[in-house]
Amino acid sequence: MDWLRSLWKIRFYALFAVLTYGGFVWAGLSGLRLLGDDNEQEPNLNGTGGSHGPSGRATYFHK
Amino acid sequence: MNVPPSVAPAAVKCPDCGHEVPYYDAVHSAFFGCRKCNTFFEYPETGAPKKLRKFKDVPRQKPTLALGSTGQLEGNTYRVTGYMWRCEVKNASYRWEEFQLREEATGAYRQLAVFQGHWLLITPTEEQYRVSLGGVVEVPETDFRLYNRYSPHILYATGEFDWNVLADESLTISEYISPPLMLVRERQNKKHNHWFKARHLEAQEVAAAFGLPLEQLPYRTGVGAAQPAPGQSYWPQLSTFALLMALLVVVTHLYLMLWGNEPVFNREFVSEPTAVQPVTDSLGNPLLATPAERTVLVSPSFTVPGTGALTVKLWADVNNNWVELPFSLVNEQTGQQFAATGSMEYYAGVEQGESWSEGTRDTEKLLSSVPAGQYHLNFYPITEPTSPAPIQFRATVEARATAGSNAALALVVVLLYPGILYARRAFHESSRWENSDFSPYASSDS
Repeated sequence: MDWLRSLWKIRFYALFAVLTYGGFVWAGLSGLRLLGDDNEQEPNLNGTGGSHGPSGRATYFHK
Repeated sequence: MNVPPSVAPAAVKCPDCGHEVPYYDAVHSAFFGCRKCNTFFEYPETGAPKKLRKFKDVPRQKPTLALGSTGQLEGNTYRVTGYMWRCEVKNASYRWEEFQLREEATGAYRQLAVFQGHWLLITPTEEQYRVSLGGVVEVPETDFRLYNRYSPHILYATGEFDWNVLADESLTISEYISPPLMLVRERQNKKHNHWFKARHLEAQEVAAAFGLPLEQLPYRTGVGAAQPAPGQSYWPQLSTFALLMALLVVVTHLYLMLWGNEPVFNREFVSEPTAVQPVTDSLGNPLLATPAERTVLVSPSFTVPGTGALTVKLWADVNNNWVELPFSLVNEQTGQQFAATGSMEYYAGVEQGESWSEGTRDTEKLLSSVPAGQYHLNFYPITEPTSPAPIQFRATVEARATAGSNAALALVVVLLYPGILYARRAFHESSRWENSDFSPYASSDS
């Protein structure tokens, strides 16, 4: 109990850390990748994918 | 509080120059330093005054705290009654100042020492402490580590003293630290120890206590012996809480991995070669062949059970070959598409008797926030246009995929501030011990 009370000293960091953890859990449950996405499909105005066929494909030059 | 020096109730005449040396403690003061001729003398209760030493080293600047001035420290009023300038016998460049403070209410004495702008308030104590062989003083609350050991030399003294400060030159002084506290042992012989408790004071506290502008106090350099490290008051809570949060992130990530990563599709495909049409320029010369697309492969439908990330794992049976696998994931109800490209190459051989290999046969792509629904995959394989062999590859889709980068990002964000503070504290500690002969950071061969 005393230790919990002593957390008052770091209340701002504690709040920040708890919010960070909350964001991490929310991202995990909603399947959101916070650092980039491998999806190369550019959304159109409807928010859905474009025409059929691959998009954003890289041309592969090889030795 | 800014209290100008008041007139001392009494004075003694310097036996050397006849200058009157004011004093406040008529009962205890018996030793005096004359600020006019720099003579230190004893004025016994009976008999003639005795000259003890004439100081040659005189401070260029006036003492920061004027003799006779008063200040409030820890709720008590103190008067500055004496000033000393000291150095270590073995290392005369280590010089510090000590102010003799007399508590107005009780007449008790304390010292205020300053070295390189770092202040210590020193109080005598009747307690005796036991020093272990490792130079550690153990008390219930904390351990004090040996920081410094020296004999002092008195360069200069002025004002009044209740003991012969010159006799301190026969002492061996040991300092034990547990910032912001210090224990000081004065030892005349092995049986006679005097102990003092000291506490680090910030310059602001001293300035406020004696009503001085901060700029008037000595400029602070380096790290003081008992100067607390950054975040000293909350570091135990911060470090423990940060580690608990980091552990929580790791445990949550492991739980999400166990709960998610549910396979919803797993199938092998074979990409057959298509005929390559030779390409020539206008003169009929053959041009370098471009990578050839193969037939589009469409997977059977599969169900994504819940909105979340999807991992598409690809493996291709390539051997001294490469394949590029652009694919699109198509929602059969809404038409929403996700696209990514997996590239795999694998080369191996033997060169000068040594086998080598490079590249990898598998890769994986993570697609964020894929809604629940019915999906299929379209593959558009590309490989070496001259390669006649079919290429076999496998696609595995896992729903509710976990992104390790999310956990890594959360860990970095949670541990960033504690990490910076940890580094600052470590640097502070190593700087502190640079002035010590007993540094735990010193290498054994130095």
